[in-house]
Amino acid sequence: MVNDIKVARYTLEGQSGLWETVIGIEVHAQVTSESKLFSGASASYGGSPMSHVSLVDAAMPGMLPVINQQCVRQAIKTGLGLKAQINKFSVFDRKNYFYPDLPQGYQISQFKYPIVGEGEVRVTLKDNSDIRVGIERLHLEQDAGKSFHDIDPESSYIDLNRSGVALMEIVTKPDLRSADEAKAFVTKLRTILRYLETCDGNMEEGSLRADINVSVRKPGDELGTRCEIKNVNSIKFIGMAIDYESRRQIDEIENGNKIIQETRLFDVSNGKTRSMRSKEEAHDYRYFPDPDLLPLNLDDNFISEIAKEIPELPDEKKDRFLRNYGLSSYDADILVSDKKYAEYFEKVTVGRDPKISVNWITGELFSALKRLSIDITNSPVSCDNLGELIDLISEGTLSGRLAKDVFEIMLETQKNPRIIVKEENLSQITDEGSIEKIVDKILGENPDKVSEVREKPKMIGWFVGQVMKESQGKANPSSVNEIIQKKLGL
Amino acid sequence: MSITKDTILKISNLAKISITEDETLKLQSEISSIIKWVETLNEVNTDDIEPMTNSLTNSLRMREDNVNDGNKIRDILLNSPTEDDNFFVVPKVIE
Amino acid sequence: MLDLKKLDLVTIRNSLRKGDFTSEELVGSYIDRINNSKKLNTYNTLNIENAINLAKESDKRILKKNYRPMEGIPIGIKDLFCTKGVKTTASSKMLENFTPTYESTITEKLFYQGMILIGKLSNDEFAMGSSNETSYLGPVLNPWKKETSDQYLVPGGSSGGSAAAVSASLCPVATATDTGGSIRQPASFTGTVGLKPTYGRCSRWGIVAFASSLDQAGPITKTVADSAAMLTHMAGYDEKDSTSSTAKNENYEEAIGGSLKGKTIGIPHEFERLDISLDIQNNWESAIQWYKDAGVNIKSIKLPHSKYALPAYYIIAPAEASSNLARYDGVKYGSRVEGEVLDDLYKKTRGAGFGEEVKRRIMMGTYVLSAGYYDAYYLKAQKVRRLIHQDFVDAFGSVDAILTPTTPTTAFEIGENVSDPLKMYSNDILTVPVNLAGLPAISIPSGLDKDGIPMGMQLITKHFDENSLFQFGSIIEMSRSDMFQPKDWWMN
Repeated sequence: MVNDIKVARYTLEGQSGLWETVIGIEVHAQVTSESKLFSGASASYGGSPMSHVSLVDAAMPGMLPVINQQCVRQAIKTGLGLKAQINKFSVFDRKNYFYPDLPQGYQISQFKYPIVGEGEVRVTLKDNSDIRVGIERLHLEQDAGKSFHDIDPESSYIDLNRSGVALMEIVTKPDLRSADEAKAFVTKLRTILRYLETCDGNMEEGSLRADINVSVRKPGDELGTRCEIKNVNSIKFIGMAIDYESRRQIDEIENGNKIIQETRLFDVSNGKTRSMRSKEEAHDYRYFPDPDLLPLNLDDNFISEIAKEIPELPDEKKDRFLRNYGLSSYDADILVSDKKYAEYFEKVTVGRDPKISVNWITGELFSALKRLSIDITNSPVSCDNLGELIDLISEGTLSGRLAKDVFEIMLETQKNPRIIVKEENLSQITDEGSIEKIVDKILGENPDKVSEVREKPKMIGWFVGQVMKESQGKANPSSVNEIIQKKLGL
Repeated sequence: MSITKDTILKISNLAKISITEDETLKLQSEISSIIKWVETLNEVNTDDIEPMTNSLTNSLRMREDNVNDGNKIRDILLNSPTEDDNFFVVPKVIE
Repeated sequence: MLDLKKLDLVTIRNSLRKGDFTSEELVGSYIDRINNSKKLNTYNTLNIENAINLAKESDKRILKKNYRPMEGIPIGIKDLFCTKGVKTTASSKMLENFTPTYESTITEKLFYQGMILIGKLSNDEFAMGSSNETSYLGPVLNPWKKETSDQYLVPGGSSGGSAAAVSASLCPVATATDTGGSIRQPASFTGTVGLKPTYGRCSRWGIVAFASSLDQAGPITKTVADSAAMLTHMAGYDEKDSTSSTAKNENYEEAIGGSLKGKTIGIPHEFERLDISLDIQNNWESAIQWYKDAGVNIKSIKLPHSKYALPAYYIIAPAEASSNLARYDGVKYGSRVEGEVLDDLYKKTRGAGFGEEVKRRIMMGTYVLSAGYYDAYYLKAQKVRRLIHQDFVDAFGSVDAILTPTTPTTAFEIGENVSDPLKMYSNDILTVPVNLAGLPAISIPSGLDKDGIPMGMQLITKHFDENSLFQFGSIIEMSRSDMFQPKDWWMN
């Protein structure tokens, strides 16, 4: 299909006119499992050097791989979550190359017959429009060990704790057109993986890494030559790398140079990409089926059992939130961006106004959690307590202002708001007799203002303020207003 | 197909085996004749024949996800020619 | 000193239990004989002290009558099986100082049943060879010599050390591995019984890998009964090996005997065209007659693709080997030659650590898998492999076993084929089809050629039908003239 100029979603301006960036991403997501893909050593992050290493991971002579069922299940679950084809026949291949962090001299991966085929991810952009990003395939493979280059000036040090941990490589079609789209896609993918609990998505620990293929073309032209930016490990860097690389390619072409297909590295220190010539020597991975393993044949039953475990995913959840709670698309997106937010919201909003619930959660609660660097699962304000706080407002016990004070105390003490209200004597004064007393006092103390207000009724605000001040904010402001008006005969 | 000297050098680089000039020439002639010999397979019609990678026909067996291995640092390092602080050591790799 | 030449495993087992001699005496006799047989170069490593101690333990158990099925019986182990605390070299300089911290499944099983490791037996380096001339510790000599010549003969390979040691009575039984004939061919060259079980029958865990889809462990023994006894204790499902079969395992010794009347043996007559020596052709005819005499039907069968097995094998096996041997890089274990940069370390280590034949096969395997050649060579070979397999499936539709010679010639002279890889490879022409199809097969001594050196017949049966191998095999053993001891010319 020829991409018409008019359908280019996003363009960059160059000296020679408009350019379109075409991006495809390969995400390496660490599978959530107890043990490694082909050995019984722990797959957990960290550990002292070589402690999470079995004889199989160290590729001792005669050692053989045995596949971890959980990793297979997780791959299938992820495939189902990406609305993808599950391949009932898949094969593990060896990808042969020498590197110190690759003890076998080959990586067990899937080449010709991956476990998961084509799928699709819906991504909502900042302007609230949706794009659909095609998934080309997902396959299982082994992670490599880790090389340390800074321990010794002359040597590299190798730790094999990561060696053999299961990864899912998720490959998109070249369906992305900008850094923002790429960032939104990876964010969305991470959300889906976290919903599925198949990858923790922790980019700092390297649980999620991306290789980004970038090329540029004039809108409507054939695909240009692409460069692959390896191992980008934050969403922010993904954006920076794409912005830099697409601009670089445009400049190269406009200066009359050709783009060479190559592997590049994103340099965090200067925000640029640079060629990894060391990796460029003709690679020839000599893939062939691993003769230590047999083809994996899955039956329908196995797959349908896993399908039953698929939770409601962000897209469906959003649709339901729009439908059932009447939320705005914006609010729904925030809530479904993390399963924990959505769960919190749904607990708070039972029997309460959804809009008020969302506002409290995305407003007061999120800013407090951010300020305190606390995850919502450890929130000092439990969903039950936040719900009761909202109840206290709608019951009229607390004014909005008082409620914020109570919320602060809840953050500090983790106490139930009703108890706080009682202990701190914070409840709103609603009985008219008490308010009348204060109003009378203020009116009595300010005869000059009383005559003024009869001329300028707008001054009533001043009286309301004084009454509120006198009541230490506890008086119900609308009652106060009403009583003053009555007393002054306005 | 006869194998060029360049091919032998390329293969020895892929296989990470240093070979002397004499070995290169010897391997060139030996591998050429072996390759020529195995090309007799071209006499066989294999249209529509699935490759057979193993004589076993059962599906890959899967194990339960249990951590029952690891924590054998001594075993891992016992035969290591060079090791420091529980790491394997190689000449500096520049990326 | 015991007369070890008269002792097979079954005899030893009975004698130990009856108290005719002790395990300690037996082990002592073997050590003595091994020490007097250094010239054959069969053992890479000896395990003398441990063996004597274990023998004493076994004697105690036997006295108390709480012996295990293979209590106190010494065994030689091919130096490809990892043995805990005992050097395992694969007869390669690359692993000359490698001491595993783990025990292969097979040796673990055998030792658990009471067998005693007497030493590690030489083989072709990384099991690559057909003459046991590629070991970095030098060639093993065949205990047999031609009546007409004083030249040393090869014992065959790659399990040449195992076969020569059993033949020379330097151990009653030995383990071995067979990727393209590495058990059966040396057994045939040395007048011993060599069994390659069905692929998947014996665990590969802890055996230094050559070609994973073809490698299979088995025993080399003096008799068919010993072979059956060994398989009983070697076979079995191993959850650590993804290609280990869950097929039912049994006591194979019980299969021997019983009438074969009405059973059918298939003869692939087209094999006659494969340059088989006249003596062996005649021996084959004799064997066919022995089966006829036993009431077995003889049927001519066709295995039309078997002539392509050898070239297919010499694509598939090196391809797998090139990858399996990538782990020997000087980083984690094994020999290491330092280099300025990483690439130097790799190339120097592997250049110096591997011998000529291993390098040749790694190069060959790397080539056939490399970009642009995969389909033409590797994939083509795997397709031909299916056709070879299918030929056997078709044949077994109408026969119970297939009978062929094990090798086209008897043992050749040391050095005779070293300079011609293709001629060397042609030794495996009759054994390789079996590996490609994953079938079980056995080589049984069937006579001496005109020069007085052993010939062997190969029986092949259906997958997991080793029982029939032993049953059919005992016919050859009973029918041939009894002549299977070499003269002790090598003794000090």
